[in-house]
Amino acid sequence: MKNILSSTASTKTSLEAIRNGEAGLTEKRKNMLARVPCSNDWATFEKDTISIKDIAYLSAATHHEFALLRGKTKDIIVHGVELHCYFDDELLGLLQAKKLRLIAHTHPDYGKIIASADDREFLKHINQKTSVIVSSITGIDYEYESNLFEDF
Amino acid sequence: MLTVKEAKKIGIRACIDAIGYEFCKKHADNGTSLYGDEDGIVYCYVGVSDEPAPECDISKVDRLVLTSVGEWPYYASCHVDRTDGRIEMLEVKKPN
Repeated sequence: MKNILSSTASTKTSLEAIRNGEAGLTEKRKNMLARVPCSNDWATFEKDTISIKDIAYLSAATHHEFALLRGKTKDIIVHGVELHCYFDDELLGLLQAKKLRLIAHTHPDYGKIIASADDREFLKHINQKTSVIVSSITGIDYEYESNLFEDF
Repeated sequence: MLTVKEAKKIGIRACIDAIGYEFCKKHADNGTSLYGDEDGIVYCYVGVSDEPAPECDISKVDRLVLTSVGEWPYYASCHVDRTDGRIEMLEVKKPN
């Protein structure tokens, strides 16, 4: 438990430093961001090379929402805007073809963590039961579901 | 010591009960739950709407959106302490 506490506190401190401009991203994450530098950019990466923590750090650095999608052979990072991530054209086509799963997306604001109606409808649209929201303030993962009574 | 999943089950149920079990059951098709382990304290949230659930046919949309904000009309949140299962309700907005 102590190690977990230290890890969480460490991540939060690190994210805060990046958010405040007091520290920079690692080279690996800088390279990720270089591939999706602007809002509404998206890029593919080798499968399983992008972690949930990575998009939390990208979100802290840019103050934008990010999403991580995963297919059979690739990971995709989507760079959103301040409080939204949009999926249309080719990305929407891949989702419609059931080629991608929503692994996680970031919530970059200081408010409480909730899964919005849009977040829920996204899962329903792609027939996925759960996904993760990661806070770019604390780095903590939260799992959300579209079914209230999954456990009951 | 509860597992995260055990604490989640306790907390989500507490949130559902706080809003109203029958109300949540009736509107289960337009609600969501969320949980996460915050250093041994599991945060749980339930949001539900009594509006008709939107149709979610991906073949009929030209865009999907993820959004960071937007409170549900009715919601509840709580903390569950994994060491003893103690529940601390945080917020509740239930139907009249």
